[in-house]
Amino acid sequence: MTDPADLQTVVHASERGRVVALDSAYDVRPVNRDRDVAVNASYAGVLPARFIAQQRPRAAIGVDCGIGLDGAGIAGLWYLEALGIPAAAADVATVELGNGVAMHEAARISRVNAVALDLGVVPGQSVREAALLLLETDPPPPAAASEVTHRTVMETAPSGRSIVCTDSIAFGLPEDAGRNVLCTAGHTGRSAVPYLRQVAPWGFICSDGGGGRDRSGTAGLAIVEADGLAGASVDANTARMGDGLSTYEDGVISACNAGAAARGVVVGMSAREAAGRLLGDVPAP
Amino acid sequence: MGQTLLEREEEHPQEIVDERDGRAIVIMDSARWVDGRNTGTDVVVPASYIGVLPARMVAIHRPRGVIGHDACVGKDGAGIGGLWYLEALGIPAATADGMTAEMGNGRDLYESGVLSHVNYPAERCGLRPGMSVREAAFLLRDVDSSDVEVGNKIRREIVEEHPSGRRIVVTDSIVWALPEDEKVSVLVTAGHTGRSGAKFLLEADPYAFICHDGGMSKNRSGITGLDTTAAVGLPGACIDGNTAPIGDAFRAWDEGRISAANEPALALGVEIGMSVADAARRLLADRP
Repeated sequence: MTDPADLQTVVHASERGRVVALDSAYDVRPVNRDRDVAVNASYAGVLPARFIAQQRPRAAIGVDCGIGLDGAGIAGLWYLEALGIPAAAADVATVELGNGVAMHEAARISRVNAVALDLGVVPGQSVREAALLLLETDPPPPAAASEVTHRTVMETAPSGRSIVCTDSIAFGLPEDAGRNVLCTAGHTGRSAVPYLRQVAPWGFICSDGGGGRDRSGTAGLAIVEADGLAGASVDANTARMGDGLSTYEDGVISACNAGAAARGVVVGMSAREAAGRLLGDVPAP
Repeated sequence: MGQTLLEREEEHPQEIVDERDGRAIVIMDSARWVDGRNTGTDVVVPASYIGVLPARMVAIHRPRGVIGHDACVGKDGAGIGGLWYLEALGIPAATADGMTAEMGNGRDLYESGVLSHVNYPAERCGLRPGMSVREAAFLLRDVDSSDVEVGNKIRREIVEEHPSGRRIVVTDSIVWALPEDEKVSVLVTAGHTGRSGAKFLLEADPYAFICHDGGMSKNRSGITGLDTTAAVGLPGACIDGNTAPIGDAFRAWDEGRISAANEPALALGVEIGMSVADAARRLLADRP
């Protein structure tokens, strides 16, 4: 079915459009505009994304190329997200680079942008299944920035307290005060302090922001200790900033304050375990 | 469910540090405090990481330019992912090296920060890694980024010339090879060297080439083009994906190291682990 003129192999077709397999992102064509899902065996970086965006296909799936230095293998996902184009990247270990048809048959998704996530595309899914979802589902109207919170309750203890993931401490709710352990994904520097004080969660885990000069990315831990708040930070090299679920699922604790230490949190512990300990009662003095 | 803290927050502390012709440079501790006051006119300098999340909050207000903090880049490059979000919207943006400025301290970012990463519209305004945040902020205020359309951004530069007329050309993708590169140029590009890349290499037929290894990938498919090109006697090598980001040939030229090379390139003295620049020079030399 390959048309030698346009280097596209149609691997699925419906009334809404087609899933086309391409060896390269450069092979996306005007014919794909607003209609087709372009499964391409290029890396999902900014450079290929510029080419893809020019043609505005319905959606695109590229390859993460191991993500690599500076996240350059997937940076195009964020470029396409800004333009409202759903996009995902496939795990490089499941893909033969430069072979679009094989990628469609065998590869699995590793990273998605927020638009694709809204359509049900998730890491671990097959590229084949993801491409069908992208073809057959209409994106919801674009959300306001403050609505993209990914708030998820992970666990609720008999005490009624919960572990809640949300992408930023600024997305804290009144009901979190004195009750929930929030796993968020901004840094724990001084600008986080007013938010931590206002939300006043039962416990919190944020990012260490990569450390920063003079450990400024965790400077807030000691400051809010005086307010009686128990909290910790995860190493930004272990969990993605801006992704609260990643803080909980991937994070490793790099710093914590005395309140968190009193509940059993230690540096080097997984964030998942630390969140569980923060959920507990304050030990008697 | 009640309103989030962000929605309830009313104070957006901003400080104008310089102003000219109605355009201000505005420092602040958090990207969440960018608002409608900054639309179109202001260069905002918030001491937040520039991930996708803060970029969404900043983008709706469309400031003239953005300079934030890279949070030492971190997992998946999440500390700088917002640069590419803003680029798609034509907004020039840059980050400061996380070890040169305190997180959450806008004044320190403005006074002490040194740029680490820039997006393409910012590059067009003259911003470069290594520049001070202060200098960059003035450039963003005073220079118009002429290119705000979605589309190709072709970077190409001749970095060295040989007495024979041959030269080393750095360009981000092999698809930007020109007819005059045929048998003359050593092309340093930054796409992967898989089978689709190999097709372009054979068509371009340069004197020699260096591409990216694409993180090697399943069955080492990121470098299969080395064999395809060796079969026609075209010398070539690959850039280690952990030393230079895929898609940026200029950083590969400055910082990259070689992870693989084909037989014709090895015969010319290219070695694994060598810098990309040294390898390119060996590929440029006269051949026996």
